Amino acid sequence: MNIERISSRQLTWLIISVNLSASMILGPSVIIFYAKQSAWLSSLLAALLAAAGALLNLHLIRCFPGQTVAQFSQKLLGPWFGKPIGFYYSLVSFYMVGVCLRMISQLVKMTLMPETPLWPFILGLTLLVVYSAWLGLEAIARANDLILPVSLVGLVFMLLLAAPEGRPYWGLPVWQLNLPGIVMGTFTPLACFGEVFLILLIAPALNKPTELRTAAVKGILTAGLILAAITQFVLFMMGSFRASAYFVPVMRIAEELNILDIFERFEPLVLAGWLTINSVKMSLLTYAGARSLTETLNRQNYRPVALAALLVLPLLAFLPRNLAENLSIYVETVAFKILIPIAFLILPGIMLIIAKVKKHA
Amino acid sequence: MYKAGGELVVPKKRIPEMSKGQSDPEHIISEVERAFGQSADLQVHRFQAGAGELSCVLLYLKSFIDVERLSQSVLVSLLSLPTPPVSMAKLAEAIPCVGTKELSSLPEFCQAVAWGEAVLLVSGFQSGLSIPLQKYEKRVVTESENEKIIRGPRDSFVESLWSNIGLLRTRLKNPDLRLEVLTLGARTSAEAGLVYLESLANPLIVDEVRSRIQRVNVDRLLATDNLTEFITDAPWSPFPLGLRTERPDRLASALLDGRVGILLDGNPVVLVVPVVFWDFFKSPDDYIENQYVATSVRLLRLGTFFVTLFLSGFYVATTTIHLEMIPQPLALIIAGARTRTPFPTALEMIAMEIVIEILREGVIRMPGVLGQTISIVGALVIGESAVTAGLIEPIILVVVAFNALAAFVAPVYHAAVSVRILRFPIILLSASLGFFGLMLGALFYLMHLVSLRSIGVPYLAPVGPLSVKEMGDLFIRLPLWQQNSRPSYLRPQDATTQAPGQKPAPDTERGTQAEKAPAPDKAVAEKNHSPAPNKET
Repeated sequence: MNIERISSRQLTWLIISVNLSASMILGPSVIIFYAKQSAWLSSLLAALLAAAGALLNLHLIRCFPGQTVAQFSQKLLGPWFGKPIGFYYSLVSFYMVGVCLRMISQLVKMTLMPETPLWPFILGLTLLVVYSAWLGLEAIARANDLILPVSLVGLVFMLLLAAPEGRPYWGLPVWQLNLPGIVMGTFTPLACFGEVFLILLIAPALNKPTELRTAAVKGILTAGLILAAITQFVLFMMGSFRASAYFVPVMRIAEELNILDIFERFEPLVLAGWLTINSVKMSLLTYAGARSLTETLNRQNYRPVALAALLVLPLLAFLPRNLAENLSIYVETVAFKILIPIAFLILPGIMLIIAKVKKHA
Repeated sequence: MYKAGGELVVPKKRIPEMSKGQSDPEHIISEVERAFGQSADLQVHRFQAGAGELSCVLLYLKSFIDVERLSQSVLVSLLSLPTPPVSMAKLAEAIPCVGTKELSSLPEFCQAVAWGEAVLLVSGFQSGLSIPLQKYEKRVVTESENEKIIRGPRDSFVESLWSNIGLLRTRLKNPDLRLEVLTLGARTSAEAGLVYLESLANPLIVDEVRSRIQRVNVDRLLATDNLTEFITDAPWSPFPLGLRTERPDRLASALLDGRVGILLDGNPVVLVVPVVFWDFFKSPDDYIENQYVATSVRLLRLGTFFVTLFLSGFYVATTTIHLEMIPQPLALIIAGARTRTPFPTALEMIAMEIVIEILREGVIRMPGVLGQTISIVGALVIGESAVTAGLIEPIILVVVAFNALAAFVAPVYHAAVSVRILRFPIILLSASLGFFGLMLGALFYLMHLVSLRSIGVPYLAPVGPLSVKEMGDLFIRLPLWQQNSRPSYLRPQDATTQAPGQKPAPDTERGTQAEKAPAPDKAVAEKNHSPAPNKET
């Protein structure tokens, strides 16, 4: 099978994009709701816990150098138990893309084009992510080399524009150790960061395997810092009460922006930036899911599976009846409480124990 | 005629192999005449030489040969031979022409005549002699029409391969310059020249280009662009994966970067590979003007690329779907204009873009004076009348006209053509899905661009994969004394272009610099032994 290669810097940037894509929009509101002025601590704690979880995954990867989870699970557990694990990782990857497709499409429809039906957005995004997955990991990583810095520069530009309206005292007291709140606030960003389980699927593509651990941990911690900065900024701009009342507080801030009273209403641009960074995550997950399924089925070419995703992804995206159902059931309950913890912590943990017992080190 | 595997086979029945006992000049003449189908310009000249003891025949195409030289050099020499030579090699020595070659098979005789060489046959000798005396009309070296610059050298390539090599050699007076000639096109037999600097170009890239050219198996190859389609990495991509240039200075600069040039006889255009996307925004002017002017112009070109691609779509998206983004006074003007026109904005935009394309194509084919007239008539009559008649919004006319101008800011014409085509899908997506559609289109293009490679080199390098070190000659143009290395994505054998520490300064300051920097010769020598590794993929 033709293995593509990416550098450790590219992996770090991919992890930042994957971690920020959901958390920067969904995170601030929920974190501030629970942790109030300690929101920044929640973000950082989430990053640290995610880094610890990633280390567990990395330890497992080190036991099986050059193999993805779909390959080494069969070697470790035999085909009867190993193949379902490969299928599971494909399912989680495709599922996450499906709910993400639905969320973006619904949000764009609600915010910008309420009279347009949902399917053109879902269809357009599906075509894009499948095309990107078809092109492969190298292409996605290269696109991210351009998308991530541009998105971050756009974000900083937006924050600078909004900064004069901010009230830093809304962030006080900075050191409020509301421990239950901090822990509760950690859950959502931690679940978002849990999507980093995909390193189990793409690790062999790294051109310098020795740098895998540094690259992954660096990516998670950087994403945590950026999330903490965004959350704190939202707090400065809106205060804890207003910030937690809005589903996407960043959009609310964008609505109030203007340049010289000529250019105003920046929500489409914010959505465009979010869409762009999400397209990287969705493409990567589609690629990883297709690759995992291909390896599970002991096939050589992942592209036919990626093409099959053209049917699977819209079906998953149309499962929820509305945005509320998508968020409460499909994202929060199914993805954040079941699928991601199993993919990110439970399965790697079990496999690591078995690997240690079988002395695969 | 092609075999099942796709291999082109030259019809053998027309040029049969010569068997023993068939080296009789009359037999060869009849076979060559048969191969050329009694062509009117095929000449057969019989004469006696060597004091009347040698029966000789000259075969040549009178349309393709220097008859005067043939008479004065070849005929006179042969007629004045005192005794008949014992072999063809001895006979060749008596002819005052360089490049003569012994021929022994019928296909060789036919090919030599087709290439414009005179073929000498002597009765009693087993072989013939080809004498290179080609002569055909050549255009004089003039200024390039398609790649104009304000300052700098004016000469451009012409249709002769060897004249073009000469133009290149005047700039690269270096024995390291390699030229490999390959014959392409089974019926056109065009000579293609592969040029590169052996100590710079990566051998893997050279080998890849050579093997791709050798794989080309067609009966005709009349233009460099034909060749491009056969050796490109992504034949379905609308983006150019090879730089076509008419400028010797541009080719020399490309070779000095470690690239490879492909010249084709009969074409004034040279193909340069590998290239990256950003090469199409660079002009030889950039290295002649100072860094501030060069940087600002380069940024302007990049800006106009995005304007050309997205402005029409942006206008359609804002005016039809996201009207809330437009300042109120402007929104009122647009709304006022909209009330007078019956068609949707997207339709007006597409119609006007097509009109501009028609005008552009029409003007290119028109004779000089007429072309200017038509462009004025087109712009004034069609545009102004359409607005007056209430068919088109005036602002659309402004957008389209601006787009038309912006498309020509790119210094490479064929790159601008691709962009013009690519904006139509963007307009359609913007009209149906607003900014979402525009972003979707942009992301599709981006994904396509990052997936491309030119002879294995990532097309969007050094942005994707990112290499900050290479940025000194990308969006900005650093002073030349700071550009010490060649693009690492081309993996040149020698990464260093010049010694460091050449910032001009008074002698006292230079002394301080020299202490900090390693000795130039030593630094260059050290770097010459360590080719720049390309870490990114």
